[in-house]
Amino acid sequence: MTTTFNDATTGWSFVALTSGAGNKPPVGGLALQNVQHHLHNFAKDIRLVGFWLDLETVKPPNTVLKTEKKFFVLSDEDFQVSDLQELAPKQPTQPAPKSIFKMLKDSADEALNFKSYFADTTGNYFGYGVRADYMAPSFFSPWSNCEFEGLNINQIFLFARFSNTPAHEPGGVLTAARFHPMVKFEFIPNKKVDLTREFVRVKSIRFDYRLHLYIDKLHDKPASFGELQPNNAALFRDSESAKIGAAARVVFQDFHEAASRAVFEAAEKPLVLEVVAPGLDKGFPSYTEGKNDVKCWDNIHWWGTRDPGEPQLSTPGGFHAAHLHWRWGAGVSIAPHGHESQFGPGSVPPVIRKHPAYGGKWGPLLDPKIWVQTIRIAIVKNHPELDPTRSGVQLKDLSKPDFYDLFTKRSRDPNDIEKGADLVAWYSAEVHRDVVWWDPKGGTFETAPIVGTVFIHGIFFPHEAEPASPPLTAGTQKPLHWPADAATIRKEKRWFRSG
Amino acid sequence: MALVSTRVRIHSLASPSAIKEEESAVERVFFEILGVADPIRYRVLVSESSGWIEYVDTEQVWRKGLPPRLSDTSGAKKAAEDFLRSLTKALSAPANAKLPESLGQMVLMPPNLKPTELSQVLRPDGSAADHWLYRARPQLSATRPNRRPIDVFGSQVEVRVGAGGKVISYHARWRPVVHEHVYVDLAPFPRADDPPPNALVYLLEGDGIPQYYLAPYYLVNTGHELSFASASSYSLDVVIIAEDGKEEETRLTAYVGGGSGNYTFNWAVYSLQTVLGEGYRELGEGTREPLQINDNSKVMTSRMDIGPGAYVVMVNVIDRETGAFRHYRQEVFAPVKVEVELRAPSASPMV
Repeated sequence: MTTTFNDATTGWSFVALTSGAGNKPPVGGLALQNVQHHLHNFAKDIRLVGFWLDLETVKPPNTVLKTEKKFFVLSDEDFQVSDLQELAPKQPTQPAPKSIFKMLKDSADEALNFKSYFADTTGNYFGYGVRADYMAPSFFSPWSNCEFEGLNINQIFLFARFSNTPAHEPGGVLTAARFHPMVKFEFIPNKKVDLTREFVRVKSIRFDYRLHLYIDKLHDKPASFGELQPNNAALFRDSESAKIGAAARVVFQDFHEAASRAVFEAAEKPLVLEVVAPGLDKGFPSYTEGKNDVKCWDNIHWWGTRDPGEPQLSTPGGFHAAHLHWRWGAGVSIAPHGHESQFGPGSVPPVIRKHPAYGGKWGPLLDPKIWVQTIRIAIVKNHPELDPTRSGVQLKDLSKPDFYDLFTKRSRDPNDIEKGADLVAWYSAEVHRDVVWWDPKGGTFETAPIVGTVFIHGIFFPHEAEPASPPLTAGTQKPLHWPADAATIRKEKRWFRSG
Repeated sequence: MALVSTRVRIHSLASPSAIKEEESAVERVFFEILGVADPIRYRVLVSESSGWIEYVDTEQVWRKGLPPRLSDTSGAKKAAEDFLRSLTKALSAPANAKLPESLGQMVLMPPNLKPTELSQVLRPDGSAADHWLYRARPQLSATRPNRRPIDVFGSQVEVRVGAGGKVISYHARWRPVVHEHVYVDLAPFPRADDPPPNALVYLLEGDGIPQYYLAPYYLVNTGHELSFASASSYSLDVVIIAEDGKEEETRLTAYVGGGSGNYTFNWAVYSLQTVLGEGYRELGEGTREPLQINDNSKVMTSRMDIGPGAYVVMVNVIDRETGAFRHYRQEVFAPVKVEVELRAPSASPMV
């Protein structure tokens, strides 16, 4: 069953799936379809697939006897489920004097006062939302002597208004609406836990999302529709240094490509093949695996496929696209608004960020309480067996203990998607609760949060005409592939590609 | 771009609620132009938070069933532009005596519309084109005596044209202006010796953002990105910088450019995680600190400290000399402060 939501003031609309019994969300939690903003398509289906708990049985003081990974789907099997709640925004007001300029000059206090615009401080004036709550006071009862007793999860899908403030990108020129599909978790401590004997602790909690984004395909040349693909996507890793910009201008004769090279350390635009990729490793934008340095990506761009021969999405730019940034590189600090905290230096504690291991890079845009997260990404075709809207496909089959296995074990080689396809993004956020060693000399820090919210950075969605003439044309509309070029990517056929 | 005049117009914006009050009159205008009558199917809306006007034929946009017979490019363009001309005439007082007096005092339609795009929009299943999307950028005259129109950045008008060349949707991200205005000096471009590509634009902030007037800014292409620079004493430019504060706090400092330097501030904050249930919190004017710019001038800044968390911080700024106003927001990810301890690897995590 479905319920249609349409908020005329923010311009967002969608259909929410509901269970057969009343107004509760279906098994799996909030599932929103046909998401549009001002009649522009944004997504076909957005939902949380489920969550994993990584549990350890510990013999005191700290010997791990056994580990266990268990997958859960939000449902009344494990939780008390609330009704789906619509949270409509209040409407801002504004003084309407006879003379605006006189009022601003003579009655500045009225203009300064926030209650002149948002009269009720307890009210929500800023976004439209849907919410569902999942309570399980005895969630951990199957485990003997667990550090936690209960688990509460709140899904808050927040749709913000269309504006250019807060700035969505470092120039502050892109007007967009934001979508924050937040999931808040809270572990309820077990007051009776006995840590002097064998106990169970939660090492991590991991939330897997399925984001079937869809951005309208705008078509300038009427042609055969059978040849047209719906969407393309791209991955980028931001530059950490403005110095690269100066070098780029010398090396690249094309002004706009130089601008892109200055801003991005790595790019795959459009994605050549399906991909599984690292977005963050325990809060770090890069990590070491064996002898290899693995660099994580920072953002995804998503757009309606261009007609053959037409220019690609502009980057930087992306005036009609979905932008999913979980980290910005320090290189944007040279932009007028690049120093602002919606871009950096991020949620990582300063002492960590300044440590040589972090290298002074900017940290991710996460809930500061749970900055130790691992973000993993997959962008693949909408395969029928991975589509929960199809009969017979169950959520429990749409997530594996190793996130990447769902895709890499399904097919030996990734499919070619360079010309576009019906694509789906899978986004996984794992919140770590174990003590993490980051200094070979023995320095550590404690990370054991019991409450936090994932996907707080959201996705922003501008839908403007792509500018055709200077000075708005900052980025390039050419394909961008580096350090590996498109031919190499296609030849190597690797699923896992780092930034 | 060289501009002959050095005086630029600051346009007052109409109150969104004043437009909203006359929503039924706006609806009548649309119905007359389009020859329709059913308010359930044909939905006209004036946004109470922004003053934006929208119309949609709910049965034609993203329709199901057989694909519509769309006109060709020139037919779609003509349909959209004919509609916009009719709407402009019908929403102006001299041409439409039936318009309520309050609406007649507003410029409900942009006096200039610069076409920016015309595309067919495909159905999500890719089976066919659903409609044409015509986009245009509103413009307003800015300077005197040479009344050249400039873009209103952040605004856009969209007309969707469906089967048989019928207009099936109109959406104006345009807040009407009123006739009250002032002229002020156009500030010279900051880098006169070697100016990067730039254009003079007005800036419309967006839905639900407190804004009283349209002021000009230079839209600048720096080579790395696009940005704005103040172009008049009413064009305040605000930046909030976050730095480590004392103990657990993050220090926010608001810097303002473009005005006299004599600014007053007021801060507020909401949390992304709790705004839907808890609203926002007023923080006050912060600590004002003058910043020496050069030997002769100071600029007032404001400082505010907040604890760890993920927020949207808001600041209202007024220039006490001119009355120039700007409402500004910023996301703040204020980190938790930790002390690194040397600890043996056998230590248990905290519970």
